[in-house]
Amino acid sequence: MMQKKISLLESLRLLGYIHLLFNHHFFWPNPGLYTLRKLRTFFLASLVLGGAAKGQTYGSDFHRVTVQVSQVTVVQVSSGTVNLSISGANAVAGQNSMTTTDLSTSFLWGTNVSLRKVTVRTSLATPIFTLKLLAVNPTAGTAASEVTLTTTAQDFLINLGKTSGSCQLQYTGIALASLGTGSDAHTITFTVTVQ
Amino acid sequence: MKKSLVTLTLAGLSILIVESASAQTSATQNVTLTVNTVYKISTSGNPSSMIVTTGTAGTDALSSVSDNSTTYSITQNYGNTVKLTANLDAALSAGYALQLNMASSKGTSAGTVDISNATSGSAVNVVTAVNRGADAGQMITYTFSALASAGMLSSTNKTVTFTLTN
Amino acid sequence: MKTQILYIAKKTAKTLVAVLAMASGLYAQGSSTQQSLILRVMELNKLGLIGGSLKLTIDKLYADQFAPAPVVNANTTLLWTSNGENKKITVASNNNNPRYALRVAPQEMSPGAGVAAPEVSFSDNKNHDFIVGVNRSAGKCVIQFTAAADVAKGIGSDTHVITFTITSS
Repeated sequence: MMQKKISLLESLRLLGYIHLLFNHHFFWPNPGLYTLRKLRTFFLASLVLGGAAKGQTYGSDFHRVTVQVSQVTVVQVSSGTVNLSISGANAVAGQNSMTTTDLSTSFLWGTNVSLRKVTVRTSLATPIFTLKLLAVNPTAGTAASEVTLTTTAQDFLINLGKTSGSCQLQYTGIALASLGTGSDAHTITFTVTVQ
Repeated sequence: MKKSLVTLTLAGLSILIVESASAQTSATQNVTLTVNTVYKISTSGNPSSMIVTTGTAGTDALSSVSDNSTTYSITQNYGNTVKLTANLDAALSAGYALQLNMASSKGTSAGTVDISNATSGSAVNVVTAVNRGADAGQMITYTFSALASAGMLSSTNKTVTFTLTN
Repeated sequence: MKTQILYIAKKTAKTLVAVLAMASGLYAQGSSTQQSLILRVMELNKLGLIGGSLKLTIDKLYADQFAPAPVVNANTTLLWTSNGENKKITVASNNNNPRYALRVAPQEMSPGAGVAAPEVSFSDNKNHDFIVGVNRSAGKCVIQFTAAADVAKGIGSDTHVITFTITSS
């Protein structure tokens, strides 16, 4: 026999007909049986509506789905280039040391593993002048003390764990007037590693 | 319908697993620090007024007055040929003289130099062969003198310009 | 075409910026600072005497007059310096009624340092012109004192304190 799926509207309409039919005084001349009449209406309506909501089930089956998340660590800088310059405006007459600072770039990270830190190092083994770096206002983790950049990796950000965040990169260039003029080109590497 | 729904779900899960396998643990940044030529000179302020009030009977040259209450400081990274010059905004009239002595620990002081007629086009060297680096708080000594034959001089403002140059 | 033009324009602009930067570095060859000075020369007038106290002794007679011969002393020097205008030097004695004659006059004055006034004979204690026309000069002169005595005045002595003063004319 072909079974036809009926809509919810059709179910409600059928329920209404049933209610009218079974509540007519023709079937129930005794008012005391009104409550029983209501229950019966509900039972029959349930049969109809239940049949309509269940839809057309032909059979069922299942399979197992596994979601696996591995270690994820992402770091990036907001700009690949920073230029610091020392000129007369950075000098004070009578002082050999001249300083300039740059806060134009940011460092961003995200990691889903605990106990991580970020280290920094430079590629320049023998710079003429001094270059320092400090993490400013990190949104997560703890900034390490300002470092004078060398080819040896030094702590930059510590206590990173299952976080994503950012901080400003404060570069400070220091030159002694007694050393003259010149230019140092650094490639700074930020690395996330186990703390 | 059921089968395509399941297929789509599996595909979505597959994509998720592929992405979680990649990781970026380092980043690099190119930082250049450039130091340009720097010349910087400043003084501690202005000297006190220099007023000639006395002399010796029979001598035209009145008693000179001196001031060494101010100092100068310099910073330069150009080289060891830098010098310090001085000049007045306008030459003094005949009969009046202004001398200048600039101490230095970074260069060679010219000693006491007469700048009475040194204007902007004829500044005189007061310190030469200044080495790279900084020299702070070096004494500036002025000596003002006048001849009786030059007469009196009402209070006159003069501007001395010091230039650090190569 | 438009893209090419834009590319060339950008490159030119970058080159111009680089050239300007280099040029500014070439011309920025020094640094200057200034100090302000106040210079003044007050009016000053100075006098000085060289020679100390004098004693003029009349002890000779004119050979042909049997009268005391005057005595001259030119052993003292007056010096002065003035950077003012229209000054003069006066001379006065504190002896307003001397017994014997005493005169004074400037000698061997520095050229251009003033004009010698006529010889002064001390008979009162007033200031008398000694050198006039002193203008922005320093000079010196020999002070010549001449003492004379009438035979009728007899023997004795006068004491004078002679004061030279530089003052406005």
